[in-house]
Amino acid sequence: MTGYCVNAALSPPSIADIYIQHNGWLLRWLRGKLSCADQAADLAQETFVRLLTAPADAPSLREPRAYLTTVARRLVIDHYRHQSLMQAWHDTLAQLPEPLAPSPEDRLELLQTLDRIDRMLDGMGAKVRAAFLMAQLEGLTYADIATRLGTSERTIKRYMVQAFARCIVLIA
Amino acid sequence: MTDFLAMPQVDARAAREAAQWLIRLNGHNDQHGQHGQHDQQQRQSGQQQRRGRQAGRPGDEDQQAARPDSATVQAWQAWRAADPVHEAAWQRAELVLRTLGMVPPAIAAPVLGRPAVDRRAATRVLAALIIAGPAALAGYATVRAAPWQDWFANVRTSTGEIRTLMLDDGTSLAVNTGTAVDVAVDATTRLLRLHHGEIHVAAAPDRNNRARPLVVQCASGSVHALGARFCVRANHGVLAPSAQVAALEGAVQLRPARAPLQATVLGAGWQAAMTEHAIAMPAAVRGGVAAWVHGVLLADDTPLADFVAELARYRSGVLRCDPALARLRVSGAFQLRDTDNILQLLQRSLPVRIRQRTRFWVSLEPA
Repeated sequence: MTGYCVNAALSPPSIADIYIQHNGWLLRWLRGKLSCADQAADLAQETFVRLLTAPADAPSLREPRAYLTTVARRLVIDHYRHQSLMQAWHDTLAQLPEPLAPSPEDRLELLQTLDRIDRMLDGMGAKVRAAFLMAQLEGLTYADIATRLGTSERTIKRYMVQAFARCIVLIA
Repeated sequence: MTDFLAMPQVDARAAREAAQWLIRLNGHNDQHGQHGQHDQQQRQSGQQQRRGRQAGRPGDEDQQAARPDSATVQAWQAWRAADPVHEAAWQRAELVLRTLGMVPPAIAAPVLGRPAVDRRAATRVLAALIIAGPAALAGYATVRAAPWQDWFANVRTSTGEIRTLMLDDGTSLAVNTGTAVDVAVDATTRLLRLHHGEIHVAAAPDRNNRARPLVVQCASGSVHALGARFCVRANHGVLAPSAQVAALEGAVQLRPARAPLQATVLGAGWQAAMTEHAIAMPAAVRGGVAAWVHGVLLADDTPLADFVAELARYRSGVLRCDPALARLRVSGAFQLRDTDNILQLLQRSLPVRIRQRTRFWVSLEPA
């Protein structure tokens, strides 16, 4: 750690320097988290892309490994989230009767939209997420949701505010 | 799609206020005309009084429900005008609703409501392995490659399909419509992992002297049996996972996934619902719970709504029952092989009319 901290005090390392110094280490770190070497390479690449778009004066550049780990860990979690989304997507399509199935042209767009929503919902408490989906997708009343989740209507309303507020902050 | 860079940032307070407005302006529920919600709306308006402030989604031209009163609208507009951050938050709120409105619930509900992966547990294991280094990794590999995994099968049934299998230990496994179950038999356990759907297990007493327990594992918990006949039906989706277990012969033990200490033994003739955290008060098994194993749907003075919900499991597409008919009673033994015929029978014996919009969209309406 100390090596580049001292350097950083003088002038922050360039992204090229960071890449050269830490890419190998980051790749090994990611391979430990993911079973597939290709995916590890993709995520390492993605991590550096995030670094490129970070503000130039960010403290991140002074402590590259801490920053890289934070970004990469987030990417790994998102990778697993996406994987489970894809699994559920394929399972659902396989079980859907043909007339309800989206056309091949619509599929990509639908999947992208689901992915955007899924990202907003990620990290929401399980009950908040369930209540939100019941209200927004299934059109259940708060009273019905309260009964199903074994809680009060007031709590459901609180969940809804929480969920919407989170979506409003995160929507992209 | 929206250009991310063009989206103004909002702070947590503005987001929270926008969320509160959203809920206030939409009255009780945000009931906009999404696919498949039509019947839901009918049901709600039929069964309960509508709230006065219920409105369509903001920005919608053809609002079906009552608009919020003018004082509320004025207060909301004043809030939006008071601060550009408020307006930005509101724009985002509308985008959230538009985005949610873009996905058909039939697909979005199971995909977005899938059971959560316990990512923390997964990363914890990985972290421990990485810290422990190569030796531990080698150990992990050995465990995975251990030869005692005798056999493994994934069984999937489609809608309307009922399949019966004989496991090599003599256990008979019937798999109901739309079910996913993995079977793993090894030297120490006989494990059935029920992802969703319903199974009927007639567990053979273990021929090996080791008396391996037979375990059915589902998201909400596990069911343990030695020699018993029982049904397990797993539900998940948007709701928290739950399972309905009925013991038909012998006894089984239920263990909620997150409250193993609450394990309960269920004797023959009893059924109970289990969630991750608890087991409901057991009730007597209702007759015909396992009739599906023989391809039969049994009804004994069953409310039509329940009967239709049950029947719908065996049919592709949408099968709805008008709320006005919900309390009609149905009795009989119906062959699941031909569900169209069951609908015809209903039409002949009850004051109902089958309205078939397409092969896959059928509703029961008052005759």
